[in-house]
Amino acid sequence: MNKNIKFVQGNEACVEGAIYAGIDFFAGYPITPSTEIAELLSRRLPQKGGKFVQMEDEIASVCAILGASLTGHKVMTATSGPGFSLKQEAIGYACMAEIPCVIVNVQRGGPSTGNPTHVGQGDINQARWGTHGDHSIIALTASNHQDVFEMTIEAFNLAETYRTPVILLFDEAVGHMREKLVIPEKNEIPIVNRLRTALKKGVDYHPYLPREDGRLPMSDFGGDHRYNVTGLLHDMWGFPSNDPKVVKGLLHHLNDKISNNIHRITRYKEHYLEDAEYILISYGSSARTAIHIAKNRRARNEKLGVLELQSLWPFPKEMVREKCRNAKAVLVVEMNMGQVLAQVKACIDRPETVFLANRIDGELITPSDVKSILRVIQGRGV
Amino acid sequence: MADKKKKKRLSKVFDYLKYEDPFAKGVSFCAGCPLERLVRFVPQVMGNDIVITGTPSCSAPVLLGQNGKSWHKLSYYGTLMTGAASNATGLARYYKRAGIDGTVVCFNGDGTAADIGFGNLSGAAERNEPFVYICYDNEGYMNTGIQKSSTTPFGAKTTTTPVGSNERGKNLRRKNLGLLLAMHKIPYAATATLSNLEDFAKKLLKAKEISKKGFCFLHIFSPCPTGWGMPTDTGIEVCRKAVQTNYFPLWEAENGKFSFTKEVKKPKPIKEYVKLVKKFSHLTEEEIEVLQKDVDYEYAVLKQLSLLDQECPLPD
Repeated sequence: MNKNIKFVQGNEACVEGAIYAGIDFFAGYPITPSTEIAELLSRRLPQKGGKFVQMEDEIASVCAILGASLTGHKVMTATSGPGFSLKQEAIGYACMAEIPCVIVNVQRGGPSTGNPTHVGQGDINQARWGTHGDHSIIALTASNHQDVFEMTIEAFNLAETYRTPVILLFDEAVGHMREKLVIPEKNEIPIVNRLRTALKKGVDYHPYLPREDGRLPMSDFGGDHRYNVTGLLHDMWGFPSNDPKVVKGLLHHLNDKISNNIHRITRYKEHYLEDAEYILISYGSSARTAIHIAKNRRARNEKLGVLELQSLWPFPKEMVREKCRNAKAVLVVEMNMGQVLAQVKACIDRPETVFLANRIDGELITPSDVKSILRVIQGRGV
Repeated sequence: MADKKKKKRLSKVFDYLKYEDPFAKGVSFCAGCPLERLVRFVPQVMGNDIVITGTPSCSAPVLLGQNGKSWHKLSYYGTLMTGAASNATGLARYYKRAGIDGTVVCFNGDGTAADIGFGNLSGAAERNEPFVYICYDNEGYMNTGIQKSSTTPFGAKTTTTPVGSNERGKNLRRKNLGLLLAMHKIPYAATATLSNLEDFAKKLLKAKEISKKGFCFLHIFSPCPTGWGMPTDTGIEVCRKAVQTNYFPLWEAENGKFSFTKEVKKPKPIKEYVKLVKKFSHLTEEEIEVLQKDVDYEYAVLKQLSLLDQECPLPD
């Protein structure tokens, strides 16, 4: 029997991915439906010499991982909607201070305490705009456990590459469902490690002076170089600054480092998309429903395909526009009131051909929910 | 004559149950959970006109009801864990301002009281808000699946302080929540548990009276059969052993004046309590000794405080 094949929960696949990516430190707080991630890491991390800490609340969890990340370690925390709301200020701090970290949000029904044990995808816009001010963020998602595993690794890689917080937006159905996971051999999936400064001790180090490619080499905090870290707008030394030139330059840097690399960050999957006349755009657990429909319709020679988004932010506008160029109609399948729909409408040539198939009652969207809307779009009656 | 005999057999605690039990006959707690006795007891003693506020926790499913069905006849305000005491502050302050004679009871678990809501609990105590804060302490986050909290004792096994080749349960000590709150010099702080119901009832009535003027805090020891691994019929027995071993001493502090309400003359060794609960089953003699020392220390501090002949009431 192959030891690398496992039958796991989505939350467990996320833990396996984090361990594969080299997680050293996890701080968390119990919240349904993400608690399993903390429980498993409380056992797994000490075994590999890492550190697990259960904190007193959600804010403490995210702040603890920021501190640990500065010391040169790969860090993660996991939560769900209400906890994600509490973490927002610190996420903004991480954007500003450019601290790599991974924040998992296993989405449940919202708003507020909402529907704790049921599925929802209502935190898409919160992941983008939850914290205040102009900032950029990366958010990834996945529909099955193999992808959960891979996206978790991608999240760590992107966080280290761009020195930014990366949000992993899973949902309750993916998090609690059990299915097969094949863990690849070591080095099969590339791992990005932190870019450290080559400057020797005592040499003047500028923590916030980007290289030509936009990346910032880091120095482990409290190590060879002395520098400041702050949530205030700051100059290349990390000193607070209100010089308009510095302020403008920093805001551009924070946003450009992500927006200039959309093509490198974008992750997606195509299912039967080549000659599709009707395209379903979906992500997370709702993508499973969309893929199921496409598979059945293809068997009946209907030209229907699925574009499964795996990176939600920055939204892959160009890619979506290109893929949907020849489609008669586009149907966004999601479990909220049209958060990704709005993005698709904004980037597509003919927004009037974009429709929404959703479900917001805490149940997983089913093929018949989508089919009934599809019938209307295809002009086959109600 | 027969009637007299029957009356004699009844515990004095029945004298305190002046009000109707507002709960349905069967409620959806885990089998054997002392929380059921607790939620019935509070309104039976304090009255059915109290307003209860609480957070997502073990008590919430019953106190909130579900799908249009209610388990009780009380008013319940389900608040956020991050602001439990602040939500109650809003209610209590308004009642006071409007001259409404209402008792606000903030009924939370140890996760809210000692961890995520500790900041605003401390704030409410400092501002001397006119309500009763009851913390039922089951030593962990039981509703999300038995994770540790800051009142989880040394050595206890939970899902985030596992027992394995590298771990031996929680390697830190518990926070003494009652003492911490008493140190805010609030008008009334006390501990209580279900093995000593008469003592508990007296404290509830005292809290109800004093809360008209200022902040009252009750720390209730409430074992969790599901999370601690104990037979469902041993809830009260575990409470009793916790008192007899000084693991959970019963005391009160009125305006900073400490006194024991149940002095245990010959405390039993902590081993007697530990053996009742599976979450401690992995502990070695040395580890039990650490727990014993922790218990002894906390008791010694309380003892010293009870000997102080001083109080510090807030002037009217």
